[in-house]
Amino acid sequence: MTSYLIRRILQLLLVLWGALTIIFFLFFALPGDPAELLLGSEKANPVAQQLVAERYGLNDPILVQYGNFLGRVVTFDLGESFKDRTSVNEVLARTAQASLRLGFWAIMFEVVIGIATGIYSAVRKYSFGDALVTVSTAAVSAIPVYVLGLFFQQTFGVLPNQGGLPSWLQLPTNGIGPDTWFLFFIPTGEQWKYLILPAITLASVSTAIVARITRTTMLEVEKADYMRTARAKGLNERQVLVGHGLRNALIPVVTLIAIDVGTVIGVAVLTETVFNWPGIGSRIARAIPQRDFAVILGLSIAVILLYAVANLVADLMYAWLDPRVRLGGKVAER
Amino acid sequence: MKRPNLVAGTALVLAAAMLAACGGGDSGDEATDGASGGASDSAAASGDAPAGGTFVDGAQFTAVPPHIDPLLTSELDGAQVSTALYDGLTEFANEDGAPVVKPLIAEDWEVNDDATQFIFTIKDGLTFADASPLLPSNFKKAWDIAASPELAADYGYLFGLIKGSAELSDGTATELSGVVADDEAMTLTVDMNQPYADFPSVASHIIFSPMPDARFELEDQSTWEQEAMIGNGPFTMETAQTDQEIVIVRNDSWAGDVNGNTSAILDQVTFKIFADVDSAYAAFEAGETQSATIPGGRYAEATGQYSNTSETALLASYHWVYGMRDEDPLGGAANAKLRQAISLAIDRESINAAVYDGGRTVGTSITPPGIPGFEEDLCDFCGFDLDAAKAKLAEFQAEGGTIPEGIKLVFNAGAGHEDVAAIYQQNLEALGVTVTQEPLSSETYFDTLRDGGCPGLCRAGWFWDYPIYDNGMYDLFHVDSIGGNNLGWYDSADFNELVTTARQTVDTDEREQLFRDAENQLLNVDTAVIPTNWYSGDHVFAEGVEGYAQEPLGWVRFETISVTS
Amino acid sequence: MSMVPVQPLGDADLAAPSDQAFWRDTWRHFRRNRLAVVGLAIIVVLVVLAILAPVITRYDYAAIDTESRNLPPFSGDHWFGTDNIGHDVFSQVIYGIRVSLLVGFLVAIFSTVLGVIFGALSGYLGGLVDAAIMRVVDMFLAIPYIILTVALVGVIGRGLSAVIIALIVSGWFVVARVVRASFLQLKEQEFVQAARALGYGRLRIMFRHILPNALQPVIVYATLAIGGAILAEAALSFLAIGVLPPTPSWGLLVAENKGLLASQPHLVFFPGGAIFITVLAFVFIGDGLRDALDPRLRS
Repeated sequence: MTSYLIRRILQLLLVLWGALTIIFFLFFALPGDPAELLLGSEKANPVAQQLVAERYGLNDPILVQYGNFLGRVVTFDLGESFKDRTSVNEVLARTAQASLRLGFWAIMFEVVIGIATGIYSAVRKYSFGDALVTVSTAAVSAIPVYVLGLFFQQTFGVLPNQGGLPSWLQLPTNGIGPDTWFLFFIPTGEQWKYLILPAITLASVSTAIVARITRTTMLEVEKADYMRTARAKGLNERQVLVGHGLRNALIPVVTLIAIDVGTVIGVAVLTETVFNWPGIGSRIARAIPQRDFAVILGLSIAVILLYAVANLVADLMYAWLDPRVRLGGKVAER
Repeated sequence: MKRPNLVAGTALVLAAAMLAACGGGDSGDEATDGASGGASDSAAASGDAPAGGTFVDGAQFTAVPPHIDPLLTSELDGAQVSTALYDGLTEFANEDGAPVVKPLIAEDWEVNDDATQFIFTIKDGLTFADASPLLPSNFKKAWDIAASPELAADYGYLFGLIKGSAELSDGTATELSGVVADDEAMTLTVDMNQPYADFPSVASHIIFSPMPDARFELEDQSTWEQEAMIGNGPFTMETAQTDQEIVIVRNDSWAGDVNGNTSAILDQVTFKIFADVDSAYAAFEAGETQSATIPGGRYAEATGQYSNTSETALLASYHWVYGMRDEDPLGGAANAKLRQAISLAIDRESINAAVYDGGRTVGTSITPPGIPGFEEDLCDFCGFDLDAAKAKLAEFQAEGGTIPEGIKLVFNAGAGHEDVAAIYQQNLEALGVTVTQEPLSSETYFDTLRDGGCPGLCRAGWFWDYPIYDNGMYDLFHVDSIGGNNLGWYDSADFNELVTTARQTVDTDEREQLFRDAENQLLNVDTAVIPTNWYSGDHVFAEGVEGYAQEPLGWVRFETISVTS
Repeated sequence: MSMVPVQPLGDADLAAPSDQAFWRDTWRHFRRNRLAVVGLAIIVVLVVLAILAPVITRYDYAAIDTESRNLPPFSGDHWFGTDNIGHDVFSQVIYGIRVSLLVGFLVAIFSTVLGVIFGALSGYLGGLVDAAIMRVVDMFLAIPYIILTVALVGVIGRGLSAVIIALIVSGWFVVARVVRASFLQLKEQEFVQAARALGYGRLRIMFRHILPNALQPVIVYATLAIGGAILAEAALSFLAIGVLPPTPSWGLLVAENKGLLASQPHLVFFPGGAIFITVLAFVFIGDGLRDALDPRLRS
């Protein structure tokens, strides 16, 4: 296991370096004046111009710039927003907290509801319940996420206030609310009201996918030899399912959830914008029309790192769940 | 000031605000705390114990404001906060429907015969919200910062009127030599570069606000707005702004204003910051905020359902400028008749009906009614007349003119101008002129035009900073403003001369006539712009809110608002 | 948006798909899945409507009519109503089929082709080629989809072609991985060894022998990717970095009218519903294909 771990970490570093290089080229080396891009609408401001020149050394040869860029990343010096001169590290710290909390609950929801639904529909294969689940998961993944979010906003935010729905259903439409948490993740007081709609919206598409994958893998796994063996040994169906089937069925699911952390970030841009949740996603969305590249670049780097770590964790879990992977067996690597 | 989310001006009292306040006072005894609310003339002007309460605003910020520092802000939303926090030398009061500039922090002022020197006497004993003294030097030092090239303030060009500004800009001086503060005699002497009788009006702009001593100790002036800002206005800040909201609280050491208000009623105003106008409106409808801006296309629905400010005519113009350089497709003197033909072909009534639900007023000049010197129907080519337009086009072609290719309709995307552009395009097709729409990113829209000019017709708008004719003419169309707010790069020798002379004319009637002549040149001789409409108020507010109104300069005076729970 | 999960192949037997019976069998299984058939029918109808668009619509999708504004559905010949400056929503939605199907098909086809090429090369050739290609794929996959897409659109600009290119570029990596996985497995099979023994060149073996066997997950992915591309375009329009008006993109229509959800729901429901039905149809088809092609579920 350790050698696998070391190999994976080295691979991770290589991949990170590559991703950052790609980002560097997209932002700095392509046609167009990067100074203009970076300054955005602060172009005319001489102080901003000076800051850009100092920090990014745009007149230096490209390799020197690249070296400086990598150096800054390694020391985690993400710079300053040119718009409001706040440190991107600070922005990251604030918004990351909000995103982590929202993402955590979305993933909780997706894992619990998704897997449970998937198992249910696999066990009750071809029944009405299964059909219902199949159709509804398909349906949920076909709605644009932000439409779903807007719909929730109207239904639970506006309608109860205007009498269309009972007022105890009322939930806030916007914002993070009191921002009170226990042990970082657990909402206290009124906080859950602000959390619930964005979390469900964020989780919706992924829940549908997790449910479908779980169902499919459960169905595949059911037919496998080791399941027959377990049943032949006299274990009851539940023991068979949970003890043997589930572990194997979970492999692709775990992988999916890890990929999902990345998807969650993407979908989070939309969900956070709709609900005005002050996380990384909405901050990036806001920085895009502002052309505030310092923020976009800085937050992107942070997100890439997070994503890479999540993938590493998933790979490790995958390796733990399926010993054949560590041993370099014939199983196709994802 | 320009919209989207315009640049604010200085405090202005509006007749409607007075009326709303008075009206509110009579019926609103719930507005005050049981004190003589019902009997008093206006709930707003209560000199008695303030009623308290918190107002949650959802109308101002449909995007995070770039600046709320009065020295830096150039958009209406940020300036709203600035105005609530700071008071300057002068302010406008409304007398018989005409705005008149009155002394505020200044007790009075003297002006010499040729309007090249103003001496303001500052009231004694005033303080900032942190109890530090408010002296003439607080103005002087603040103005030095505001005019400095390091700060690069968007409105820094206003200091160009003052002697010594050129030296400050190019670095040969570190302060404005034309401004002298005498803290013993409590006077502020301002020398102008040339005669400029309107200076007291211009001094009402928030960039001329005084700053407390605490600010002068800062190393980096641009960080002032990241902390809780201390000022001398009806409100002050106790906590710094966040991404989600800005909170201001009543300043009990406020000196009052020119309308007799001596204290704000509310304890606190919380400005919520939203990502866009639709989600802000959803929050209002959900009862989370007490005011909102009406989103595009929902005017009729909103005004039908909620109390609103749509009756207020704003001192703001919505117009499309022609790119006037010779290389622009519609620019140059030779295309004048073509421009006139196009202007005649635009159906402004239909734009008003379709895009604004009839809420605005069709424009007959750039300058809106309410500006002293305004003349009705100044523009000869602003009525919709397709036949006359075709005739004018025929004239143009008979003289050898040809309709150019590649005319673009340029506007900032996502701010509701798509529909106007579509109607413009349709109107022009009917005339026989083909154009293409070119939406640009909202954030960099104005910069793009400033740098590169306008390849056809470009959307523009302007909120008057203070109600004088000059603000619309000089800031938008004078050659000095190219690279600033003169987006079409209009440069007419006749216009420039009229405006320059007007600014230096001391006699009011003469000055206003010269400005009218200049606008005539702009609209009827050179036809450099297509006036489209004048803005109206577009806020809704919740039940139980009294004294809420938009002033003609576009903003809300929070010191007159009260709420019942 | 890669919400598309694709299964790696198991160790089960694979029938050679050049066998005609195989495809007939596949169709038979597919036909039994009612949802899949419904999905297929929907797409066929949409394609027909898209082709017949100029015939069945009375108005140009970009035409405005300030006299007929804000009409609710079924007003006269504005079957889906009009918006606030008189655009005929029905025309916009019908012409929107063209835009959505164009985006969906082009993105799915080209990203699949790119993915197949690189995945095949990587899986079959192995060694350095494999390592190099896979590391590059990993690097791009390390950048979250939305950030990569946004950066690409920022560089290429806005507009329909820009969106299609950006989505293709950010979409081929997953296919490459899956195809590689299949090739890794398949190249050990007997029929490949036989072909090698017979002296066939590597490229020929890759693309004429192995690839047909590896296609199953790819076909499924490609189908689901069509729906994914349509949703991705809608998301880009929501963030205001997608196509430019007056392109009749459903995503753009929904984004523009999202504030009117409560007051004029038809402006959101018709284009939004169109997205929903189309993507759903592709999801059903994709599901049906997956079940029909999966040998383990056919028995």
